[in-house]
Parts: sequence; C-alpha cells; structure tokens
Amino acid sequence: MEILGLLMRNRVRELREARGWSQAELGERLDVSRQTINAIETGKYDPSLPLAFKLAREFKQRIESMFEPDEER
Amino acid sequence: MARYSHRRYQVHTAILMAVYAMLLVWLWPQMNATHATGLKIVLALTPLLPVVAVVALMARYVMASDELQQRITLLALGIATSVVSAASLVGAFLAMAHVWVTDGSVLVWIFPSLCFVFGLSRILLTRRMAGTWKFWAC
Repeated sequence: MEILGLLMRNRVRELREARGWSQAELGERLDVSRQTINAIETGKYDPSLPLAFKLAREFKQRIESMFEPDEER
Repeated sequence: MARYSHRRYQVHTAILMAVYAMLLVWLWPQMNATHATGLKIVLALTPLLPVVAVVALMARYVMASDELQQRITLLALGIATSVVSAASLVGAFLAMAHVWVTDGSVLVWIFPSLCFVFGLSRILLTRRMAGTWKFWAC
C-alpha cells in the first residue's frame, strides 16, 4: 500500500535498460537521486507531473505510453 | 541548484552542535553567577544561535534535495511535529492536574525530541517509500 495516493504502473526500467543506462546515470540526467529512480521503477513512488514529463522527454516517449494506472493494486 | 550533499550537511551540523555544547558549558556557570537581567537574557539565549543555524542548514538541505527526498522529509517532519505536540499536551495536562510536578526547564527537551522522532520517522519512511535503509541517500 502506498502512503499517499494511488500508484501507477510504468515502463521506466524497461526503457532505461534498453538504453543501457544505470539508475544512477538516469538520476544524473534528470537531477534526482538513484533512490528516486529505483522507487519509481519498483512502483513505490509516483513521480510528480514535471518529473514524469522529464522522464518522457529523456526517453523520447509520450507520457501516456510510459505511465498507466495500476488497477490491480 | 547544486545538490547539498548529506556528507557536507552532517559535517556542518556536527560543527554547529559542538559549538552549541561548548556555549552551554561555557555560558551556563556565568549565567547563574550574574544578577543583571539583561545579561542573563543574552547569556541564556546565546546557545540558540547555533540551533537556528542548524534549522537553516536543514532548510537548505531539503530545498536542494529531489522531490522524493522532500516528500519523505516533510512527512517525517509532520509525524515528528504531531507526536511531540501530542506528548507535550499530555505532559501539560498531567502538570496542570499536579500529577507530574515539573518546572519550565522540561521545555528544553522539546527540540531534541522533535529531532529524534524526525530522524526515526525519516529512516522508516525511506525504507517504506524508497525501499532502502540508506536514509542519507534519500
């Protein structure tokens, strides 16, 4: 159970690994900590809208193709 | 904004806390020896200066951290404030009922208690929200 709010499913890990980047490298690109990237990838934390857009821009994806509500939780 | 590292934050805080301890040890005997009210007030409040500096450092650290770190910090601060406020109320009511006899010096424990509960909450929230015990990295 997340502490505040609903959690989303995302493709961050899949897209990061496809580019061969480490979590630390992606964190550096987005100016966030490695732990934040890990928390997003493992579904423990939903990024803010600005960070979600930064992620989408970094991976050259549309935001809705990267994040979707996780109905199963 | 350049990230203000946890290591630098720890070093700066440790220095300020050492100054705080030295001020207490140095000023306390002088405060008890003086009778001038104005000087007493100055001597009693001087140790607050490093504490205020620590609070400012903490604000700088939080402002320079990323959004998950800020969220964890603010949640921990909320928990610490609630717990310490509730404990203070319990203490106040017990004192008013003369069940617990105390003087104003007990107030000196409020800030350290806040720091302790904040630190503990931050460790547990980091574990829960970031999946790591490395609270200094988050």
